[in-house]
Amino acid sequence: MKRLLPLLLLAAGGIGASIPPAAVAAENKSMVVVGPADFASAAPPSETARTAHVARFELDVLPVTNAQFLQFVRQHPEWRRDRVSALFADENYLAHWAAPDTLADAVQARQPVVNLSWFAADAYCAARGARLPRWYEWELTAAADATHPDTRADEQWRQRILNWYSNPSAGPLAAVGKDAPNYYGVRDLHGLIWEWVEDFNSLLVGADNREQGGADKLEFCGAGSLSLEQKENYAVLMRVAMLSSLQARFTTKNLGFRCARDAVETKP
Amino acid sequence: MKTKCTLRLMLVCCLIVFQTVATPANLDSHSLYQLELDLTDQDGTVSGLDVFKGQPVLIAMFYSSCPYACPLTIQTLQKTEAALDPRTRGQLRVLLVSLDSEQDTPDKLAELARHQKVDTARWKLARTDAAGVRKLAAVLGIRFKRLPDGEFNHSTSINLLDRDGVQIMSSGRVGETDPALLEKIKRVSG
Repeated sequence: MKRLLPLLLLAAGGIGASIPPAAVAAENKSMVVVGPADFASAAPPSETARTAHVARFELDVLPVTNAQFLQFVRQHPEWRRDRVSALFADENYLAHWAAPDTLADAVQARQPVVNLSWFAADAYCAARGARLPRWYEWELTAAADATHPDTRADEQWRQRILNWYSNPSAGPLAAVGKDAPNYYGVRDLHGLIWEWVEDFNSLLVGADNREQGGADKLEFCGAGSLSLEQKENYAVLMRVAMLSSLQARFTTKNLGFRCARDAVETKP
Repeated sequence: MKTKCTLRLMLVCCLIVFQTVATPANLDSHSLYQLELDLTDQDGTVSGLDVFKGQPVLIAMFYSSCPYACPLTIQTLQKTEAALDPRTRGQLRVLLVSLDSEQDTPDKLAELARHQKVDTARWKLARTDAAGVRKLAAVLGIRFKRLPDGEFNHSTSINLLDRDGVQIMSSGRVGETDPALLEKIKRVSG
């Protein structure tokens, strides 16, 4: 082990000078592997392809907290709320913090970070050598309960999730880790916050814009014609609709994120 | 010796110019030129998104194998240009950025430029990587989706940037010139 340690430190240092080795070590434990899977999505890839292929990937067990995002903001001051560019975040960006580099209290530290834009979430994940999860990755992982990979046909499960969706903003946010790990070991996918995905602006772009009639309809060709499946899976459809209504600089008080990355292929 | 000094001076000047361009603090906080992405144009020339900084720019996203909507976008841009007086047209630049970072090589873009008879003195057809596509689409409010067959569904818009890269207008009128867009182009060129 003594011999291994310098090697491990070296390896960690190679990922990026700004990431302390301890953070890398901690991060390793905080992601789990999901997939590969072929998955019947509520928002299928196209009119003809009803199944989405999800390659093996790693996903954060927990949403990113205020404390974690504060650390990022201190290392990347261009993401402070008093310095962030108007192109990348609206005026409510991190509005719940006490100051641009101070949280309101210790309780907030463990709450998932919200009030942040797609650009900010994207930059956080990139600084970690990761990326935002894609919609199909998120949807696949969120279809699981504690013991089954796909529990979407379970009406009670659907109702439980829907109860939260119908009243998501009541009271202060709970700390992350509120829910037990699901089948994949991922927590808090439902019932805590909405989450950004990398391809939020690809959702509801369903039908084919080559078949539009009038020229003035072209701008709306993608967004206007949605093709959704599983109408009974109302909770997921609500999430698709919410995400597709966003612009990348928008922030809301219950929209946060977690990071993902392509799984490292292990050679046999 | 004199040549050396001149060269050194030029190098210093270049560095100063480069720094001025690279510092986001000098840009309007709404300027799209804050986006860090590499464009490669139809000639293989690499630049930033701010390649036309200082000129009014029409920017749209497309992909070269797109059968209908994208040629229509290019034709709309050409009609828009044609409707301008020569002085305004001379100032305007056109930047078409591909959604298809995998397929659209400089060669393909050059072929399309020839086929559509675009004026490459003032137009650029360019590609960037997948992350660049996502970010540019995000700031322009363009929604897009790669289909399993390699085609894209996407919303179509023609966007006007002022000389500092600030988005002045987004027009969804495709197939015909948009009078409101012509008016705005004249204003930012004035």
